[in-house]
Amino acid sequence: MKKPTAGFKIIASLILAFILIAGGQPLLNHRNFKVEIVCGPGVTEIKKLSDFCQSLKGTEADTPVFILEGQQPGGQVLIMANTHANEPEGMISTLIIIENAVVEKGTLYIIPFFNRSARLNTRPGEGYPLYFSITTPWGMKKFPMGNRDASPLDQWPDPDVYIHYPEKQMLSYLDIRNTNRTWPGRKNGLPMEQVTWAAMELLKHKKVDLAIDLHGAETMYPVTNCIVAPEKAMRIATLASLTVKSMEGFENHVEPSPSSFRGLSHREIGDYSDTLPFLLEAPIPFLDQPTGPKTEKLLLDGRDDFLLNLAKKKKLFVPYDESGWSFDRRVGQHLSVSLEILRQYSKKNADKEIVVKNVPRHADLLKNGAGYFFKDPSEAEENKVIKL
Amino acid sequence: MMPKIIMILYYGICLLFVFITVRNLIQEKNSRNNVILYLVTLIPFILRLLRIK
Repeated sequence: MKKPTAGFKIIASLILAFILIAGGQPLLNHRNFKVEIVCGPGVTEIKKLSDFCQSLKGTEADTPVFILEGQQPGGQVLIMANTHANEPEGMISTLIIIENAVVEKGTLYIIPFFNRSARLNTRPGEGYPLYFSITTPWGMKKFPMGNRDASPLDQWPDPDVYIHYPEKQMLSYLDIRNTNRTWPGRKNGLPMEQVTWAAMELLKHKKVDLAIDLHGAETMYPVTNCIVAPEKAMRIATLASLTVKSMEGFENHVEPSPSSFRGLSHREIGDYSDTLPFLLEAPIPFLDQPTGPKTEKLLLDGRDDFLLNLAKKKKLFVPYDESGWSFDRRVGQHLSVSLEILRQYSKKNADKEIVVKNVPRHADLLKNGAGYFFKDPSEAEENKVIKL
Repeated sequence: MMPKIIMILYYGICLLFVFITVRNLIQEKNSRNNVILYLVTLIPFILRLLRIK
């Protein structure tokens, strides 16, 4: 065997350095990537989650809270997205609300990147794209594709077993970085527990009436294409589900929030505050395991031959055909169901009415696509453009 | 506070492994395979120390 000379070591080290730069630079760029958002006419204030939990200040877990306060008082609602940053239709839905909504009555609190650390995280091991782009009237708009859990760079180490606070239920070690397992959180806990604790503080201090958590789920997972709600929010969820079916022609059934599975937003927000929680799941074929390559195209058009075969064998929990389950359709579902929840709540609580105008619905998304509702940051007033 | 201390210690351990591996790499006299192995072993530690992954 040849002996390793100094020259060999130097060349091998240079090759390693090249591999590190070629592989690491895209990951570093992704972590530092910013999305430009144009604040619409409804945005009255931008706070940070650290305003409700000081220890988040200056950390990567801190995230903006957009406040859209109506001219007239009314009910208050929190809409969160990117709790799981690999389910980006919720994030797009909230950004469309931020850029377009006009609130006449009540107040909206919008958190487009709830688990901001997960948005900075990536999933190269499963071949996830680092970004996806959607077509707008003024060009392509690029967004980062995140991961389900917070980045280990921001919260580490994981415990052997995650013991939920305060219910003491034992959960997977990985779920300590999953902000849909750390509700209601704790002030002095790990960063993701602080994120959910801060959100609980917001709900309590602002006396928020409704909380809507936007998600996506596999077509092979039973809890998909649905509204998950606990007992106290079930009536509104059911009315919203029935109304979107009859008025807008799409199915979105209701699933009860399990009382014995802890840490989930739809369970703990209801149990630990007066807020009515709802978690919306839109089907994302991209997340299913038995699909072709995890490409940007699959994320956006939701078409996959393997899933089509499984649908023919009745192995999926949603109707699925050659048209797939597009990104626009998923965003449209989230927007329509969210608006319907607000409308149903307002009908039952006249003194806490929430009236929001200028937010597109399911049919608008199918007709125009999500990109149609984004404004060109280069043509907006400089003080209206926020980099997230 | 404790998780932060553990995280700092973790970065300290990463730095220690990098130091030991680089030292072994420099001192390696017999096997080219070992040189390659040391370099590959360094990748995750460097990515973590640079806070890339």
